[in-house]
Amino acid sequence: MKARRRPGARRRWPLVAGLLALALAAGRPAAAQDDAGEAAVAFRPFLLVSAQAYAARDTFEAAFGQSLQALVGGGLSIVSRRFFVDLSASRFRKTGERAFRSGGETFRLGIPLTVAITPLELAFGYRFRPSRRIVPFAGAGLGSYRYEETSGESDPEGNVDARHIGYLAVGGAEFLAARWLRVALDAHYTRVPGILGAGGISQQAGEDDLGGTAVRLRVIVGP
Amino acid sequence: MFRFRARLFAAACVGALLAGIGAARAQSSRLPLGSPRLDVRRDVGLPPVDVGLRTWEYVGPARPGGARGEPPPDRVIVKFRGGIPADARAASLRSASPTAAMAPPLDHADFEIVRIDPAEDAAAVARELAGRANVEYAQPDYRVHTTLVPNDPLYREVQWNMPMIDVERAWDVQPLAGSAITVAVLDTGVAFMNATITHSIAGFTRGGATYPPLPGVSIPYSAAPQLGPPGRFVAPQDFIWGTATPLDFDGHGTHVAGTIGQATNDGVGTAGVAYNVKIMPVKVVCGEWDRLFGISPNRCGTDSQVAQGIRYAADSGANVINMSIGRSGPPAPAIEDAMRYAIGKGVFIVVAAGNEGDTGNPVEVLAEIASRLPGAVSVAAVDVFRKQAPYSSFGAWIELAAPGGGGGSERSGYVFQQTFDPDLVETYSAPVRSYGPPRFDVFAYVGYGGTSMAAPHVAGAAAMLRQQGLTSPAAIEEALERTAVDLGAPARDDLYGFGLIDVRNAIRGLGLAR
Repeated sequence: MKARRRPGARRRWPLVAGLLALALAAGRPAAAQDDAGEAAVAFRPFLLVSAQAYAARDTFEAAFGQSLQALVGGGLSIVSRRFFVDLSASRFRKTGERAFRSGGETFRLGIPLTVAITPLELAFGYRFRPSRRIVPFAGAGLGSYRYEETSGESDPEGNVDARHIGYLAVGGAEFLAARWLRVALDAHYTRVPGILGAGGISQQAGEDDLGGTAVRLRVIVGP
Repeated sequence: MFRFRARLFAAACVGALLAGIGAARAQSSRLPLGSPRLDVRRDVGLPPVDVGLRTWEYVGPARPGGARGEPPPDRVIVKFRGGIPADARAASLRSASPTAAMAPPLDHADFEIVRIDPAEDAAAVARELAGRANVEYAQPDYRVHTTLVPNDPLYREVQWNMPMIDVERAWDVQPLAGSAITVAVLDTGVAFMNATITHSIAGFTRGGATYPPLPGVSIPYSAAPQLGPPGRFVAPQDFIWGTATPLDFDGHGTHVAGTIGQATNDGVGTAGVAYNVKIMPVKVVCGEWDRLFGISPNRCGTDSQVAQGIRYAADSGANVINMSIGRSGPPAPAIEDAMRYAIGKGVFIVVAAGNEGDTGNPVEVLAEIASRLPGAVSVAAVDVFRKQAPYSSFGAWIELAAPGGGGGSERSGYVFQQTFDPDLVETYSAPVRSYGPPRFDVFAYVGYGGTSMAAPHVAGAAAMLRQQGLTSPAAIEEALERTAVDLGAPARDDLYGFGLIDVRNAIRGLGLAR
């Protein structure tokens, strides 16, 4: 009997392969070493796990029972002594239920609803006290957010596949855990208009923001 | 309150119902001493007879064009041969259609989906692609429909009303079709049990003719075979005769119950919307035979009886109440209170909007009450062309529309369900020389038209919504209204309310963004 592949598995391997390639490339400074021996500009791949409280709280609670959801992904951080540019991709995918809201009450209908959100984000920022073991940082940026919604029926007429630009702000600190390993913990705020709010539960709930506030943990490889 | 195009049948029943419902003051539901009583012996008599479709009432209205009038495909399935590079694929697509665009890849598919402008001919694009050497096959992405198109032989022949409200695809979502739900039918009763009635019928004068008394006649009575087994009926109650045997002596209530929950996919007759619901027969209005059996017109369909029926249904476990009844005139606070009481107990109420749209269009009191209560709806009727039925009352109280048949026009169809053969019930309309006792054991598939027929479509839909998880009457109303197909003027209007119900969309609920 042939093994059955999990839905969506096919789409993940390029992301994983890309991250591995970036990891192999890590530690190769793009510019000369500065006086202190630290790379002037370094490329640092990272993996991230994010716990996001979606701003569309009632909307997500209606379908999934809670608005706090996990995203996983990775990216590349390009850092100089004082500045950084982060490029990241992450993904949320979960199956809940179609629902209906009325009078502030939510009625879940037992019909499967799968939602996938794929943020591609670019953030720019400033690193404070860059020579210490703990480096606070803050930044802002923008992202392209893909939203897919499918139901457990063969009929595709109600499915959604949309992408929209959003904005983000981020602030946190990076910890040196080992010579080539850093851990960053940050708070990450996104505002993503244009996808929710025009229909569905989000319209009933009067919520139009696909963003939210997240706590992210990043494991960074590099000098 | 209903309208149907049976020859002699119509006037008598309309008169009976309206007179009964419009009767004056509330009285106790208990019959006063000396009131007439029927000798009803359960489970005595011969099996029922089903004489099939009464085609003399039906002149074949056309179904709406196409397969549910769906749009043609705007997507093409293409399977390219192995090893064809992406640029060659794109070139093939561009040459086949200027609007073609490759859709994101699908899971579990070894083909591609190509989106095209809906104005383009998907079949032509597919043919063009299929003729290319690098394409293994191409076809329009046709839609496959529900697996449950009932095998009831009259379903495809006469039940235009079911596909119109997209109930086939709703059955696909919810094959149980309301099995955990009880719908109370407040009406002329329901043919829900077998019995033999022994009664003496007094003589009467009708149309200038004198009909003789019929002393000590035995009248056969059968449960409608297509309403299912006896266990399907719960808590029957008769507020006309003050008994627990609400027998339908008219056919209206049985027809209405059939639209709500006729046995379906059993290879016989017609289908019902929520074909697994439990039915609670509650008799609150009379047929002509109730009066001929001796019930005073003042005890037929009074406000008090209707209010009692509503409260009884709510107290007895009904989840949905169908009221294909109504009246115009002064307010009905007793009924309004009862409706509020029932809604407060979680019961959703459906009320027919009235059949006087072409005869003065007075405000329908019960429908108007429903329009003010979240958790109750009033229902107008549309014909086979989704146009307002000419008789359908209109005004600010209209909230939803459902198929009711076109009334006067032969082309606009009727709602067909199993009920008594009218020829054997309306013997009081026959010439005196052929007058005899009625038979309530011969059934036919009869076409009725009216908002009475529209309302039970909504009651069936509400039962399915309830089963799907919408437990609040107000939420059921909101779901039905939000997902209705807007007809007439944009948004809510006085002819169709929020529009024609769409059962599938209603029970499917909402996603996050759509």
